[in-house]
Amino acid sequence: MSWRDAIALAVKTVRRRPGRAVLTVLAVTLAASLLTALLTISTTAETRVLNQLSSGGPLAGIKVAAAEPDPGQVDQDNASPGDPKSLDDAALQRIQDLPDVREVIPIVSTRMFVITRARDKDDHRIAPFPEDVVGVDLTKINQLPITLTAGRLPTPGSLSEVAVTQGYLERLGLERLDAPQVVGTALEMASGQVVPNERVRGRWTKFTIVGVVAQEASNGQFLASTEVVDQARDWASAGIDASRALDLPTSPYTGLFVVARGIDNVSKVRAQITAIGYSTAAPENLLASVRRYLRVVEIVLSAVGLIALVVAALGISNAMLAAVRERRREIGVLKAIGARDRDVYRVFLVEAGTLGFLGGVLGTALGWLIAAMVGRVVNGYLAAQRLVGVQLTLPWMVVVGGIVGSTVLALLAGTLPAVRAARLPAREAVSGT
Amino acid sequence: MLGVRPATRSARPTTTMLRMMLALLLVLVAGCSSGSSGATSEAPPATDPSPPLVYVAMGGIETLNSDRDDLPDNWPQIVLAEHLPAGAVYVNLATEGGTVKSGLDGQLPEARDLHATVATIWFESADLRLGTATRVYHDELATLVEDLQADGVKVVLVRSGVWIGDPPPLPATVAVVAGDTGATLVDLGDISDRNDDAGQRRIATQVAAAIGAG
Repeated sequence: MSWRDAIALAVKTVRRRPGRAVLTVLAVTLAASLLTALLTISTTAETRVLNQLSSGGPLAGIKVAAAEPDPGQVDQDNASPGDPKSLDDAALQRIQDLPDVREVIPIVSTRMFVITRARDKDDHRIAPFPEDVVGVDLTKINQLPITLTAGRLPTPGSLSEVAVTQGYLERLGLERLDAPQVVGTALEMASGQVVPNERVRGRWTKFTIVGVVAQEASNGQFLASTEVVDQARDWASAGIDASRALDLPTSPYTGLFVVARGIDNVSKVRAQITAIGYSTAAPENLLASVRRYLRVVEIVLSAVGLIALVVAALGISNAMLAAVRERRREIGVLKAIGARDRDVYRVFLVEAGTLGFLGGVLGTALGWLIAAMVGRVVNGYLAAQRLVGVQLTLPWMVVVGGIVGSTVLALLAGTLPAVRAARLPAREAVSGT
Repeated sequence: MLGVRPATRSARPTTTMLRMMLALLLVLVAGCSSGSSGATSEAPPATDPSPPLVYVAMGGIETLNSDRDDLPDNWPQIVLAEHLPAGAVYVNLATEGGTVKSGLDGQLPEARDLHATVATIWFESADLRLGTATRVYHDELATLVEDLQADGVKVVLVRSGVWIGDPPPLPATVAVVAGDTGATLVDLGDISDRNDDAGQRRIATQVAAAIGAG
């Protein structure tokens, strides 16, 4: 019997018992889809997420402060800045020109006087208070380590919107979960200008709080557009002896957020910025820990998928053994008309392999579909957070592994039934004893 | 091909099943290809296309409220907080001994520098105390209002006082200037409660209504 005959016979047999075939294929499909989905998600988490973030995201970001570097800062995620040092356009350009720097995002901040009409949890008025307002280019917010917990971020260039941090909630005596309460409320903020007679004149602006963020781009409870901070600084600096009277910062930029070209370049860029002479901080140790955890998650998820696949293979074996028992007479007839043991063996093996292959193909496709759906949900969440979405890709190893693995496992599972069928004596088989 | 037992069941259900499997596979593959594009967050649109409302409060101590401790409850601050839209800017240009003359010389240039769009003018106690001549007061106040109006500023004149019979000359002049220039007049009447939060709120409400922000 040729392989072609064996395949034709196996297909015919499968078609004669569609119910069993469908159920067996379904078991393999589900197992393969589980394995494919888990592997795709975990692989994406490790490679795509980390790589995407590193090519323009917070994990590849280095915070540069307007300060001298701490000598040992490269070994620490959050080093203590040294003495203040002006961070100007020239310094920004030098850092921008470093070969492994993808982008430099300036951060400016200024101290403003704040009046909130909100009341604390005991219904007391909040006394006016001074606080730092951090201004960033909001068109590049995706690359900053800022996550929304409620509302949205201010629109780029807005002179009427701010986001607040957890610190503002604490000032109001609110918990993190209460964040939506402050969204939509208003506050007034002023920068001061020293006028004659030692008076300070405020330039007040009414702002709407549009969101609450979990982290701070720099020290300060308010996040706004660069334009808000620039206007406040211009107003303050136009006063009499402004820098001395109001203790205004002398550095044009409060800090920089430097995005390296890939996570692997973070250390190198940090060292180069340190050499230029500025204090830096980067989540390098955090990143290493994240990678380790992702690897563990991948192993665990793979194990879960493999167990499912083995269970499915046992199902194939069980179905094939049942088929051998049911088809004793057919096996006997085959042998009576000249089929050899290896021909019978081949028919059953091909049948098992066909079921495994079909299940593998369908399961891999279904698994990819599930992973894509999960990816869409994740991307929807990331988009709401104004963060870069992840692009899900199906590694070819997972496709090949899913289909070939299912087929091989099915062949292994079908070996025992095939051997039993092949060794069945023709006379016993025909007589059905 | 070896002869085997012919299929006893009809081939049609089996063919249908295989077709269904094929269709399912195609659907899955189509779903995969359409779901492969990763979503990225779009840059939010830029806002604030129109210039902001810039409100300047000009005057003397009645506007500066330096004799009060509670900044958030000063009437111009309440106008900003409760009656003007988000993005509105407010600067209090008033000085403690502010007269119309000082307003013309000092506060007007500052209002211009700020590109004010709305201004309230309330010069009263210092001019009364210093005995500014009615004619001078009229001319200077009118010049101040007209100069602001020439820059497109909406001007609101504020006066106070309770009188028996005709108002004294200066408060009466405020009304005359308002009539001459077309500025909006806010007649507060008795402001003996000016130092109270309630009094400040009353002033804010009347001024906001005159500004058209009420």
